[in-house]
Parts: sequence; structure tokens; C-alpha cells
Amino acid sequence: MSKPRSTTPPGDPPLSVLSLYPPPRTTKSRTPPPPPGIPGRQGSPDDFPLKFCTVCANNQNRSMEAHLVLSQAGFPVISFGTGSAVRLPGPSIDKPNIYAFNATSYDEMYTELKARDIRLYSANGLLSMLDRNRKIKKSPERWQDWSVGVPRVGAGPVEKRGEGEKTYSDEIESGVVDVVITCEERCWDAVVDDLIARGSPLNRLVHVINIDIKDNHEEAAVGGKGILELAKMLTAAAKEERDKAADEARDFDRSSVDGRVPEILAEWQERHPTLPVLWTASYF
Amino acid sequence: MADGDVLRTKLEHLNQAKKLVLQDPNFYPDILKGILPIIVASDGAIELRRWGSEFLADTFSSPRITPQTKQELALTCLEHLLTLLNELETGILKNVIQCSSSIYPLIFRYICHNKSETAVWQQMIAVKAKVLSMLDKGAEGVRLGCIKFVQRIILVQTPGASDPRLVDKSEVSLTIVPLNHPILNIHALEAEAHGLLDRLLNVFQDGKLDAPIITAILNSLPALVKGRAAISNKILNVLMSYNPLPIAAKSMVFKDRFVARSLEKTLRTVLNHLARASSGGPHAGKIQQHIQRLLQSKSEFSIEVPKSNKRVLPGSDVDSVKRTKYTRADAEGEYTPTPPPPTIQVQPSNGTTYKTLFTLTGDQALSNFDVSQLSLEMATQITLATMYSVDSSALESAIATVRQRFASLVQAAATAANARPPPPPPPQLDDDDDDYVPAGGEDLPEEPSRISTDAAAYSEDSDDSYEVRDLVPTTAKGKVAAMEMVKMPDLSPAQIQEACEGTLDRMFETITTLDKPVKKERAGLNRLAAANWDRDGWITILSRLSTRGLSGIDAEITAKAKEDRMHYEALSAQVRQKLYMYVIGDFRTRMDAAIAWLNEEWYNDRLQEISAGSDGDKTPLEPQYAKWMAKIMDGIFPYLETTDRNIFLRFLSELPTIPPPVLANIRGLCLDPERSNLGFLAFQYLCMLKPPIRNDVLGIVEELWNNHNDVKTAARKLLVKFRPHVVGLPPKESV
Repeated sequence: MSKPRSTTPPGDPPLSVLSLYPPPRTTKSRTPPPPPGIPGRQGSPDDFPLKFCTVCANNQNRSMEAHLVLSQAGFPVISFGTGSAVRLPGPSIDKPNIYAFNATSYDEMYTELKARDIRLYSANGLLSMLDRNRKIKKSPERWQDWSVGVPRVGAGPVEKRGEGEKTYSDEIESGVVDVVITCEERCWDAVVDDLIARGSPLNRLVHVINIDIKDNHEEAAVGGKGILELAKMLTAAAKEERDKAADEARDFDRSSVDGRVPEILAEWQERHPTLPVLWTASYF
Repeated sequence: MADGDVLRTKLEHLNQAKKLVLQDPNFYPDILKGILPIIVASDGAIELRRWGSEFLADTFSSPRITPQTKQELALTCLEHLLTLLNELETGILKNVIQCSSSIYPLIFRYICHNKSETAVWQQMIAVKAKVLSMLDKGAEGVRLGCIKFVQRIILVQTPGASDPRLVDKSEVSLTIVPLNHPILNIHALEAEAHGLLDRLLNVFQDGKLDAPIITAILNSLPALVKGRAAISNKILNVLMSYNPLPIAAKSMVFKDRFVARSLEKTLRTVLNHLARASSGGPHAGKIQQHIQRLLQSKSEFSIEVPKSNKRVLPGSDVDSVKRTKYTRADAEGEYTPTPPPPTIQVQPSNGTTYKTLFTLTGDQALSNFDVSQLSLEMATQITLATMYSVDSSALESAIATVRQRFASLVQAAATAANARPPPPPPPQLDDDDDDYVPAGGEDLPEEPSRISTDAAAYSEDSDDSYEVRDLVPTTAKGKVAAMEMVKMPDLSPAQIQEACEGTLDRMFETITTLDKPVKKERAGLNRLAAANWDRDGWITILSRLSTRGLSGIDAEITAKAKEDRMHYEALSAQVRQKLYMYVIGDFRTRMDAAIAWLNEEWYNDRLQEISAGSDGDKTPLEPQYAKWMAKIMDGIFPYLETTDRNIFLRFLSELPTIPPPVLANIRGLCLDPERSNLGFLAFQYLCMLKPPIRNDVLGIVEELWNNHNDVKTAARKLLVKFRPHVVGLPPKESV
């Protein structure tokens, strides 16, 4: 059975899915507790040799949940959406709230929706999601518009930066990442296709991994945990290889983390059989 | 300790320098020249070289530095790159190779324009040789870098687009090499590129599942196919004969299956990209075909892998099945490799049992073999295998023999004419396979009644020597009773539903694998619905089943379910639900099916109406057309895009009536800023070509015009044409 096809650019979620965002189980704000250590500071490069990027359709729910947990754990991480526009559920299925990527900030969306119908948007969890997101970075970003390699310094929510404090990391100073994790197969398709279309001018290797996560708050939380675990596994392997390189006689017999990615993913998949995984090695 | 401090200070300085260039790329030339000696010194700390190699890689990858600047920087770095390539640490090598990939085209271009720079070219060649030497034997991360490097070399050393309109000025290819260049020999370079391409393509033929390498190559190839006409055919041919699944399907290892899935998906994404890029080109069709093949083999793969050793072709494996079974028998010393020609010997009648009735072989050992020792599964396999290979004349003669024996027994029993009451029907004769087995099994020891009977049922009378006499009827009446097949109990409504569900699933599975018929013949009135077993045929059958075929059965079962106070979901409703899911699954290509189906529904609704009208006491079935029409509309609306104009309008036009909820849906479209055009187009179309609902449509448009400012202009256009008075224009004479 082929899956529903749509000429919407890959990555746009069906609105029916969006409208089904169940209200969060708890009514308390989804703002996470302050992470251990200094909030929002990336871990030292030695502890986090791999840089990550999370991608979903709207850069709202799944990728941002993962962005949050990864940055809390100290990983250098940025996030994107692959849809043509940011679509959030509206009052009915045929009236979504549509925003442009990069242009409308999470804060503006939050303010606007709150003014429009505070009851509805609190009940379906949109407001708490936007509230979380605006504390992570300024606005949803579109994958296809990302200029890879342009340094990303000083990104993040505006109002916080003024106070000299960052809430969560949204910086990657070299502007490139080692691992892209998408949250839906269509997003993976979009990313891989886009990388091919860009013609890989940077000549830099990147692993593109998909983890299928349903687009609702609960699944996003589960998926975020899974992604964090995967990031930890990959990072641990990278460190292991690097330490091997530093300690041992240096010869070609040791493998690099790149060669171990399939093996790590297979191991991860066995632990998370409900989150189907897919992967390819591509170039920026 | 002091060393460590010095090092830390140095790194600190370097990081500050890096911050500076990240803020302003104009500083790159000065800073790079300043720090280059420090970061590449082979006697310095390894940390410095790690830092340095990363900085170099980032520098030459950065989109913020102009190619001109990069070229200048490359000339100063080339020598140092060569030194760094002697490093053994994977991380450093990866960076240096990334760097080499970036500068190779720059240096190549430089050499093209500076014919006397032999020394620079020599260095570049040295770098190239070094990197290529690692293509096969480096660590995985290094090899992945090498693949990218090789792709760059191939791009550079093959001719680019020759059409001046298509030439990208910044592109580096053989085309920019001046003729008679003293250093660059076009033919040698091109030959080298072809050789390297062959090395890359080799991985698709060596049958290994080196996933990172293969996916990396797959992701590198599209640029070559798209940019280099000279080699695109060769690459496409390799890609289109590649299918990673069969290799992986052999393996039961979890990782291999994950890897296979990823390989197949990458290949498909690459092919999709190329199909789109070459749409209209000579290869697009072929690529699509291969994508279909992959999809098909993927579905087989995911079904088959968990039990791949169980599913065998009956035809090809009959022999091996037999062989293994026979070796079992052989172990018991009762098997003769070449069975004697089938001779049917009538056993001496020492007490009539089922055994003597059916035994056809003269081999005592065989006839004494207790087949109940065999597992049911094995017995079934033997039976099936035999059935496939049995000689039909032998079978007939065997049946005749048994029939003759049976007749004579009946006769004997009748003449004996004892006064027993008519016996119950023979419990073992219900399986209609029984007759065939002994005949086909001249060379088989089985006793039929045992083979195909469930072991548990059989255990009740496991003594196989009870007398046939008991079972043979004594009167003509009894004989009829004895020959009656055991009647299966009627299926319960729940069972029916379940069976129906399964059947439907299988039908839709078939339908989705069927290709769309290439060209439809227009047979006009002579067309027969569902004359072929193609996709359209199945859809016709299913839609007629749901509308007409099943309604009678449904009525019957519903009545029964009501009696039993059980819930019963009508079969026709199930079929409809499946049809709906099918259409929604990919509505763009399945619109035909939706139209055909909904038209059947509409027609049937009319039929029901008529028959209810003529026959007063018959209640008509619930009308279905409007319900499913609205459902399909609800299903596809979220996905509709402006580009679906044709398909959507066609849908609206080929349906007999448009129920009001659908109009409300279209109204929703009009209010969606991205799809507003499509909504109004649909309305306009309906106004022009579906007069019966024109008034309803115009009512909605008028409402839009009155209440929604952002669609006012679009609404106005329609109203001007059809209801000018609303927008304050004089009415037209006719519409």
C-alpha cells in the first residue's frame, strides 16, 4: 500500500494529524525544569565531538522537543522544518493557522494565538508548545533555506540574550553538523533529496537518520528521549574512537565512528522497536 | 604540565582567531597565513594539528569565502596538506581529504590558466595519489571522504555541458582546459576519471553490504548523472540493475535488514531525484520502472524475510521435499531408491478394514508403516508433493480399484443382510482428498485417512483395523446417508465478517501491485466492465459488490445477527470502507477509481429509490452516494493543493450530483489563503457547468463576498458574471 501522496512539498504533515494534537496530560506548563549544570551552555567540544540537527515538518513539535532535550544535555544542536510553511492546527480542520518559516517568530505566534482563542489553544497544547519553543530559539527555520556552513553564533531567543543569559543552545559556530535526525520519513526524503540537489559543495560527510515519530505531544516526548539516547550512543562511540586514536599505536586498523553508525543504529533500533529508523551517509 | 599550559594557551589564541574570522570572513587570508605554520607543524602537538585540519576543512568549505580567495589560499596550503596527509589519525585525515576535495577544482582551474605552474600541479597530483591510495584501505571515515574526493575528480576530469547557454561559469570541468595545454592532457585525465568511476561503481556488483560506502556513493552519483552527459548512461545502467534487497534478504541478522532497508530507500530516493531531474528525458520511464521494481521487491522482502526459508515454490521444490521425507523413511530401512513401477495388488482379504480397502501396494513393510508417526505438517507436505507429481492414469486406475473393492464390499454386506440399524456416517470420509492419496502414493506408505485428518480428531479411533462392515450401509436408504458429506456449520456473522475482511485485504493488496493499464481502449458502448483482471476491473467488481452484490446477503445476515442479538457490520459497508481507504491512500492517481465507484453508488441509490417506489412495503436501503462523496471530500481536502486543479475539477465534473456538505468544503478552500484560487475555480466551474447547483454555489459565494474581505475580489468576479445585482451592477440580459 503506498502511503498518501501529496504534492505539498515533502514534510508537510497532513492537517488531520495536526488537528489531533491531544491536550497534554498535565496542565502545568511544559517548560522543562532547568537542566543540570549551566543552562544553555553547550558542553565542551571534547565531551561532544558530534554536532546534531533535528528536523521535522514544522520545526514546532518533534524537532523542537528533540532540540530541547539535546541542548539540555549539552549537545550542540540546531533544528529545522521541511514543510512549505508552518502549519498549526486551527479552530477546524480546514482552517489551519499558517505562518511563514523564518519570518514569524514563536513569540509572535504565541501572542497571536493566545489573543485569538486562549481556551482552544491551551486545550490543544499549542500555547505551551510555542511557549517552550520561544525559549529555545527565535523562529521556526526551513531546512531548504539553511545556508550550510554559515556560522551560527548568537542565535536563540532574543529577549533572553539581552540579559546576557541563554536559555538553551542554538549555536553551531562552524555552521555544519555531523548528524541530521529527521522525525518523519517524508522529512528524511526531503533532506536527502535537498542534499543531492545542493550538489554537496562543502564536501563534508553527514549522516542523515530518520526516526519515525507520530506528530503529537506524547510521541514527541517519547521520540525526544529516543533521540537523546541515540545521540549519546553515537557520541560515546565517537569519543571511544578518538580516545583509541589518542592512546594506541596509530594504524589504520581502528575504525572511525562513521563506520560504526549502522551498527549503533541497529542496536538502538532493537531497543526502540516502535520508532522505525532509516539512515544514509550523504554530504553537505 | 607546563607543556599542557602552553598548549592550552595556544589553542585559546587559535580559538580567538577563529572567532574573528567567523565574524568577518575578510580576515581569512591574513589569519590563515599567520597560523598556518603553527597548525601544521609535524613536530607540534597533535591537538594543534587536529584543530588545524578542522579549521582548514571549514575554511575551504565556507560559503562565505569567494572562490577567488579560496584559490589563493589553496595555493599556500597545498604543500601543508600533503604533509598532513601523512598523519594517521582518522579525524585529521577526514578533514584534510575534505579540504583536498574542495581545492582540487580550484587548483585545476588555476593550472588551466597558468600553464607553467608545473610545481603546483605536481603537488596536487601527489595529494591526489595519496588520497586515492586510501580509497580502498583507509578507515571507514577516511574512505567516505575519499569517495567524495573521487566524485570531485570525476566531475573535474570529464567534459561539462557543451551548450554555452548551460555552462555555469564557476564550474570546473575538462571543457575549460585549453587545447594543447602543456601539463594537462585531456585524454589521460578523462581516462583516469573513467577508471575512478568504475572503481566507485564496482561496489554495486561485488555483492557486499558495506552500507556507509554504498550510500555515500549513491548520494554522490546524481551530481555526475546530471552534470556529465558522457557518463550518465553508464551510471544509470548500473543503478538500474542494482537491488540491495536480495543480498540482504539472505541474512537474518537484524542489522543487515536495517542496512538493506536503508540502502534500498537511499537508492530509491536517488532514483526519484534523477527521474524528476530527467523528466521527459529518455531515461525517466526506465527509472520509474526500476523504482516500481524496488518497491515490489521491498514488499516481498519485508514479508518474506522473517520466514524466507519456509516459502518455497511448490513446483521447484517438490523433489527436495520428497527427498528429505524419503531419507527419513530410508533411515528406517524401508525405502528403495528406485520404486518399482506401480503395480496394484489386491490384498488378500483377511478381515475388511479401511486399511485393506485402501492399501494398493504389495510391499508389506510399506503397508505396515504407521504414518501417524509423521507430523501433520510433514504428512501434508508429502501429500501435496505427491499430488503435484502424480501420474493421472495411475491415479484413475487406483481409484477404479478402490471403487471396485468398495462396491463389492457393499454388495457383500447387502447380501449378508443383517438387521443392524443404519450406521452413522463414516467420520473419516469427510475429507475429499482421501481418494487421491493412495493412488498417487503407490510408492508411498501412507494410509489416506490418516494423512489428512487432524491428529486430535483421529486419536479417538486410532485403531485402524475396525471393521468396514460397521460402516457399510445395509439398505439403499442408509447408503445415501452414508455418502453424505459432513455439512460444515454455517459461519457465524462474526466469522463472515472476519473472512470478508481478509479477502478484501488480499484483493486490495493485489490491486495496488497491479500496474495501471498503459492505454485504455475506448470501446464505447461495447465496453464490458471488468473484462480484464486489471486494476480497473477489480475496482468495478468491488464497487458493484458493495452497491448491489452484497445487499441481498447483507439483508440475510443482518436478520440472523439480529436474532442472535449480535452486532453485525454489513459486508457492503466493509467493502465501502476499504474502497474509501484505497482512494484516500493516493487520491491523485486513484481518482478514476473514486469516480467509478461513486457513480455506481449514485446509480444504485436511484435503483433503490425506484424499486422502493414501485414496491410499497420494501424499505429502501440507506442512500450511500452523498455519504461517501462527502467522506472522500473530507479525506482529500487537507491534501489538496493549487496544483491539483485538473484532477479536482475533473472529479467534480464527472460526478452526478454535488451534495451540500461538499460545497461547504469548497468554501473552506476559498478561505485558505494558499488554496483560495482552487476553491473559486471549482465554484466557477460548477456555476458554468452544473446548473442544478448553481444557485447553491452562488449563495455561498455571495455570503463570502459579504463577510470575508480577503476573498472579496475573487468572489466579486463570479458574482459579476452570474449575479451582477449583488455587486451593484445592472443585471445582464441572460446568464
